[in-house]
Amino acid sequence: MSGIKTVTATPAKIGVVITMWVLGLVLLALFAWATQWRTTASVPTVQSAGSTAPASTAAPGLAALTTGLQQTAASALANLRSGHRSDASHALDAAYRLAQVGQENTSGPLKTAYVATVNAIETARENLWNGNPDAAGTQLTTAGQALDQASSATQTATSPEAPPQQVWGQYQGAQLLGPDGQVIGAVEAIENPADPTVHLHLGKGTGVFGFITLGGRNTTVPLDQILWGRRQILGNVYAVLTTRTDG
Amino acid sequence: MVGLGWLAFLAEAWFVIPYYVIGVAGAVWVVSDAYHVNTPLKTAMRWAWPIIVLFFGPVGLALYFLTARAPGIGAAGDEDAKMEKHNAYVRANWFRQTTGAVIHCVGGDGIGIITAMILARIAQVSFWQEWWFEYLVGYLMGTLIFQYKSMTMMSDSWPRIMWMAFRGEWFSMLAVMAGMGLVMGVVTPLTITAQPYPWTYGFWGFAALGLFVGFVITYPMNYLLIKVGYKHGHGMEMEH
Repeated sequence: MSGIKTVTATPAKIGVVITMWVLGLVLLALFAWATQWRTTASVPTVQSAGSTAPASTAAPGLAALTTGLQQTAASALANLRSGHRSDASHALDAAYRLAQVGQENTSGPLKTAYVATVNAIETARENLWNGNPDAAGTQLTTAGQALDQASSATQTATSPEAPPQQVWGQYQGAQLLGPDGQVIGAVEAIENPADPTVHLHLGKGTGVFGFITLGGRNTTVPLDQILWGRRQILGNVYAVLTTRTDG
Repeated sequence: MVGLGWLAFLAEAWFVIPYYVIGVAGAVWVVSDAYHVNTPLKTAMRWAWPIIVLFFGPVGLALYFLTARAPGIGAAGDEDAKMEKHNAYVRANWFRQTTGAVIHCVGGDGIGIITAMILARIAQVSFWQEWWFEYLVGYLMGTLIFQYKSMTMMSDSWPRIMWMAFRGEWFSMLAVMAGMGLVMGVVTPLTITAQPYPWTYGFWGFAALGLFVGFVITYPMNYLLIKVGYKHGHGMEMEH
């Protein structure tokens, strides 16, 4: 073929290739850092307009989840109404994660309330995807009402059953959420059937690119301090640490 | 939290529908133009430009005129005259050369990335699963179809063509997916919440933005790729 020249490895060309490697890796690192920053950022807090779950309950984990979800959903609504779209979107995603876990861990009237919450939040997200923030606000109001019912129902709810030992392995690597719905780490393992404990990794550098862990710290908590979301082959598997941590 | 709410128009019908109407009409016109008027365009470029115009709309059309279509090419006599006019135009400066290299990349990657994104959103996979899936599909489509076709002009040996295609695409894709990922992982979630479904305006508005950011970020990488001789731009021969 005419006009084709052979590429020879001169020092200048080696320098350009090294520059390309550095540029590519730096760009990927910046993108990964920004993504981790976004997923682990705290949800802006506002005073919840609705009632909150009482401190004394037969299901303290569900009460903590419901309280956290109420505050997160209220934050989404308040920020949406005040025009702070980024804060609203961030809170709405956090609320959606919490609501999905709640739906998985409840039964009876509480489950009914959580299903209504999940449906309202899903519709609110679709409203935003179609450029309709007013309709999203209406849905978040509906979600708030459903959560008020959930808050009442938590008083008579029973604690969810812990997952059986046969499925413990399926929670390895599950994204760990704080009570406000932000990602705070990952589940490493569940061990000791006689007195089940959960090994967690807490830190903002957990799950970079889906599999890399940078920094953070390990901790162990009793199994009943975690609410377990839906196990999935593909997609996010969530678990909520219902006690606060300095993570 | 950084304020990105001003980008919410990318999920609104008044913007997305006209934008893609222009994109579709422009892509159809570019196909016709590339096969009937601007015939010196290489085959891979004939495939890539309509994809770029589809997703970049008016910006894509402007790039096509500024970098790939020599003024007055329709009035040039025969194919040789057109080729001479085309080469004189596209090789005149680094901007046109580099844009040609980026178009190869983003056109091929883009159709793969968007296809993978549609499938991933329907399957509701996690963010990182989606990102890796898009990377794989985009890289394979960009390499095996667009870069391979482009590199067939550079060698008669298919193993060497494959090597050159994978090598050229490798560096370019790093930058494209950093840009695309930034829009998917940060910009979209902080504007309209994460991972919109393909049947919403937001999906298409932010998909276009993601490809455009990928295009911008991979631009310096493609400049270097041409410098080192791993890729070539709009011209017909590799230049060092």
